[in-house]
Amino acid sequence: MTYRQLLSLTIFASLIAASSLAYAGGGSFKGKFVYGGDAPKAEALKITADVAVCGKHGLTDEGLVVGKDGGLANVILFLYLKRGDTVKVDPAYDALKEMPVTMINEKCRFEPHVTLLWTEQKLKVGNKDSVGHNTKVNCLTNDPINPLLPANGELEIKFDKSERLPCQVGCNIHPWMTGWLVIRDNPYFAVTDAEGNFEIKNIPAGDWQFQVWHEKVGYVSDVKIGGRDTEWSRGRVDVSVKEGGVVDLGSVTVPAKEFED
Amino acid sequence: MNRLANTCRTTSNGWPAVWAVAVLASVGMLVAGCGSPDAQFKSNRAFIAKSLGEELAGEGSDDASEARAIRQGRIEQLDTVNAALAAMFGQPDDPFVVPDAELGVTDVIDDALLPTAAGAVGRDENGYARGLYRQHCVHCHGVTGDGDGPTAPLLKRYPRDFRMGKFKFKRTPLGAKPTDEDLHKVIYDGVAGTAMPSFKALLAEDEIDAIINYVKYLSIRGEVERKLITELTFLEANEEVDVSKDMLVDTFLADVVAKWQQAEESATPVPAPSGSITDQAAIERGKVLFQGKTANCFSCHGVTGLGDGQLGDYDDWTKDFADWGNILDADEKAEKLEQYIELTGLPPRNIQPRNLRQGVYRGGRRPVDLYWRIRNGIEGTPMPAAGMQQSPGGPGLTEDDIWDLIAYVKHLPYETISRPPEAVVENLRENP
Repeated sequence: MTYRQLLSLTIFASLIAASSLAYAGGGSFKGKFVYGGDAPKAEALKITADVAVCGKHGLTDEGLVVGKDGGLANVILFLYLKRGDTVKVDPAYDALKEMPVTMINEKCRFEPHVTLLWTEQKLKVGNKDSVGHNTKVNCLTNDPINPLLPANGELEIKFDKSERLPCQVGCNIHPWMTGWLVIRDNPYFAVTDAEGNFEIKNIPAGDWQFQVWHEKVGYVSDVKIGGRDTEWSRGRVDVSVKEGGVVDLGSVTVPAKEFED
Repeated sequence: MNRLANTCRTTSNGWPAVWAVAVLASVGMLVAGCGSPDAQFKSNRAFIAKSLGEELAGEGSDDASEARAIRQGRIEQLDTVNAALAAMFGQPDDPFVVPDAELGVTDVIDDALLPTAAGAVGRDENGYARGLYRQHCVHCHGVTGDGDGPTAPLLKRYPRDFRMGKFKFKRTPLGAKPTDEDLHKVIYDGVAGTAMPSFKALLAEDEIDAIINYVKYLSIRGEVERKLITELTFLEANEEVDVSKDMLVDTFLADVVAKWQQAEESATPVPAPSGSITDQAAIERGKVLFQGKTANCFSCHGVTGLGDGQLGDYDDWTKDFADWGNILDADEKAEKLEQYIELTGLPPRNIQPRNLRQGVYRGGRRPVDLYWRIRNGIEGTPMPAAGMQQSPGGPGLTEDDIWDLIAYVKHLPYETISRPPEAVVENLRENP
């Protein structure tokens, strides 16, 4: 780790510390998603352009990523709000407003694969590769973008409108590159990590619904919790948040057949 | 069908003395219903199938009766959507946009001009043209403006489908609408290298204006239709579709109309080049940029500009139904393809990066046209907006770099290698 990386990590850590100091209330929502089946072997991607640069990373399809203990990565959860409904964002999130979210073209893939953006934040699209990339985003509500990013290029973009579904991100120069961008007018969202875990903090106390979505499944509606079949209509799960409480979904299994086309 | 039959009866009853007409009408009814039916807008079938296809196919649930109920619910919702569209926009013979003073629809669509372009071909009592869209445009662009007129499948480049609200050749950036002047240029000059002809010899200025007005009308209608269909995907099959004015007009229509209102002010200003773009040094600099990793033109257009870089991609209109290039499973791809062709009649075709050695420029050959194509990118296509320097000396292009690229691109067709060898003209009489 270089000195600069260390420094930025320290700054980041202190920001996190600052934000927990500003903890104002609400409760948390957490859980773990698990793939219900034998972990499939990730399919190798066909590298059709800039092979010398992009071909050396052993890139695989990120549509279904299963980690240790069958943990299911890249499940997206976000607060479901009816048209016109709003949520009061906890001040604990204020520090995030000044922190741009990064979506980087790196090793001919998008890092991260799923980017979470609150409309109060700016999106920084970057390119750390030695080849040019274009980053094309088509959303339902926000204007499309398609900037070319030269090597080491960086661009700040502001999206103003909340999206009800993740937007697909692609690069036409390297057509295998796919990513997802979640744009919401509140920061109550999460994406499961490599082990399938997620946690959303400082949710105001009250009865909420969270929408659960995965790129191969769409709305995650048919799941098993504690071995019992559970249906979340249109991927919506009821979450009753109490002040200072934690709602733990526990282990949620998404059956393998949900991922078939 | 019932409505048509009634219309027929009314017609024949309305002309009791003209026996022959009545007979003809009833013969017509026997043979083909009743003359030709009123023109109707088509539903956006591909978008409906993409959004709700599984449920409409009766696969919305593992339980058969529940699946049937879901299917029925969706059909009823779609009926509501169609009724709402008809109430907001009328039909091809009688188009309008629901009047709303606050919304400023009249800034964008001139109601008085609609009959000049819409409806059946003919002349009004003063001899002014009527039905110009059906006379000149419908063969390719279709009654609905879906780019699916009868000649569409015969064309190598499919006609534009206006319903996505995306236009390629404009002075505004991605996401913004074209200005009236942009649309005027396409109709007046045509689109070089495609079947879109120039109408400058055929149409008077006010007639072109009427067609621009109608294209905007079709596009707005199409975009609102897409928004309504999308809205259904956020509802359960048994939920009611909100067709209140608040939703239809103040939310959906207002969104689309606002974008058209902002077109003019979103135009990208064009700074003057600091030198001549026919200067050899500019051409040389442009060549280096074209083949380099900052502008990255070569990735798609090829190192020599022949348009042979990226050949496997599709435009947004084609990708709207499925991301054809990224469906890894062969069976799934074949199934989707069959479905798509059944729905649209237009087999997906790759988008081709322009061969820049031919000197044929779809969106216009003026340097300023090329400026907007490079600076803003081309909406609905893989062509990205130039990556501009975010700070002086940082990675990216400068305005002058763009002019150098234009210099090089404009020069390419004149390189010796771009021109095929010409036959030597021999005068056989003089040199037997």
